[in-house]
Amino acid sequence: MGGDLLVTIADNVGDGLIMTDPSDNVTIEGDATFSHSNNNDQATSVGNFTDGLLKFRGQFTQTNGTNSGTRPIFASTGTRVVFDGTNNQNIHFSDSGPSFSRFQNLDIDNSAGVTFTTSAVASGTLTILNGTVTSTTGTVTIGDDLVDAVGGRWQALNTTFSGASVSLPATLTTNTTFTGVGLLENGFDLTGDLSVAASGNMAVNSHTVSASGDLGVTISDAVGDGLIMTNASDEVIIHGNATFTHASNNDQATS
Amino acid sequence: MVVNGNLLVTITSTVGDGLIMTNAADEVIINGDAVFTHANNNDQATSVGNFTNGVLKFRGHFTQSNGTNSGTRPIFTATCTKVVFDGANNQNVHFSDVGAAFSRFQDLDIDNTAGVTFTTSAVASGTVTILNGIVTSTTGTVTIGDDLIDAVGGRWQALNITFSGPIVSLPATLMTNATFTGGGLLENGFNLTGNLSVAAGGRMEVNSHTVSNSGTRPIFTSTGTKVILDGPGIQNVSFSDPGPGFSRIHDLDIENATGVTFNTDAYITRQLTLGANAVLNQGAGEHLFYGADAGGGGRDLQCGQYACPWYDYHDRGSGNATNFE
Repeated sequence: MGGDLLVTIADNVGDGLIMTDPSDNVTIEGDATFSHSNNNDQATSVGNFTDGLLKFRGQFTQTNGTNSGTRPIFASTGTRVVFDGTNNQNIHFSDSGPSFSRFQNLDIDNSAGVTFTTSAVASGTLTILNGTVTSTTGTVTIGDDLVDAVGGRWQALNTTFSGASVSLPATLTTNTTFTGVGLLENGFDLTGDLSVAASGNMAVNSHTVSASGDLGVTISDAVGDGLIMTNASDEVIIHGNATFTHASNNDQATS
Repeated sequence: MVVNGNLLVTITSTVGDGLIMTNAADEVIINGDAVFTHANNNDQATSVGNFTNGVLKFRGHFTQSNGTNSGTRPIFTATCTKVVFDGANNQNVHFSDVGAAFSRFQDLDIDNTAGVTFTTSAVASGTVTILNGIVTSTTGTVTIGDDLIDAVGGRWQALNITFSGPIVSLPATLMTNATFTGGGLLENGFNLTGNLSVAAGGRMEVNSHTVSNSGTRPIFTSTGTKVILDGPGIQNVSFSDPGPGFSRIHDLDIENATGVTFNTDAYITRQLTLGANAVLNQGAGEHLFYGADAGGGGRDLQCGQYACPWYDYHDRGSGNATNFE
């Protein structure tokens, strides 16, 4: 039986919960809420979570005060966040974005599962140690690798990989979009649709990729974006329909 | 000065009236109840400057009241005088005009094994030190401007606490809803039973420590029931939530000739008695804390013939730690 955490920040830079040392270690047994005061439209936690370990064992909610645009109210830039509760845990962001509220490295270690109830961003690596990860809406954006040694436990509705070099589980169930350089470190068997967004790459890099759903590749005027297959052992299997197009007004687009 | 009866101090708008303690050697002991108030219609009454040094010991209840037709006033305002609650019975602390700029303590010592209870919000602008007893509250928030010291841990059990200082030392364990409103640089980690908040404009900087609110609880708490271990075979004792404010045994008699083993820390808050043939086996190298108050001058640890060379015994009454090796 543990208590809850409420952190409310204001426009003063550096207020709130501060974790900046490698040995910082905070465990919250109850629910955690990060918010900001009404009318404090410059509130930021950037710089507050640069190191250490922050464990949540209840629900996680990032909410906000009134009269403010999207703000980095919980913005981890180095603090590792772990969800290791014993009951299913929900993750909710009101101000999600790679420049706003976000995780950096994120571990899922809850055999009862973790559910994203909004879009979310983990700018670093997301590692599943135990449990299944699902979502009810939105997209989870991962800036680096998605690690699931067992495979098949990533079941969020939609996932965007924005990193330059990406490692994925052998199997995953999600609609996947690549928006970064997307050099694959391994192949994967996807249950869902596969997309490569304009200006994004997915370089197969001598691996095998299969998708149970559709493939959509949109290129732009940037040379070399899109689906990249340049090695003899590259193999891509699309069980659904495949669509290749280019972004509007990109009249120099070429694959 | 020792007052064996009650104390009533009534101030007016005249600066400097009332009880004055401004010298380091000033010591006042109130064995009865103490009431600090101000006269009706004296809305400029203040005791700021009256309590700048010395020690003021209360052994009964403490009440800060007020007269009519006045806003909130600093009617009892210690700015350096140390206040000690060291009664023999539970003591209540009540403020009608509480506030960091109004009625408040500075440094505050709790030295009452029967406990101290805040019946309103209160402010201690300095350090609060628990020497003996448990601190509780019935309502409101206790605001501490500096450190909260409880060497044993677990004895701070007031409902709500606010830490407003720039650098904060806390007990290893405490049971309260804690809010940080100041600089909040932690000097140590802590395990909190309760909610944790960082208010707007406040900070809690973890500073290389471990903070958790895993919720140590008084799951088995004997406050008067004697526990006897007299089984025919080896008996093991383990506490997941040991502490003088958490799971604990009041009086413990060990009569087991085969052996009793403590596998964790354990708190015997009054008396541990080893019978004539009792055997205390080596546990996991843990500690046995005993004897908050034996009462009547008796020994906290009563041993007959025992074999217990491995434990560290911490006599909480004397503060001594004894290793029988």
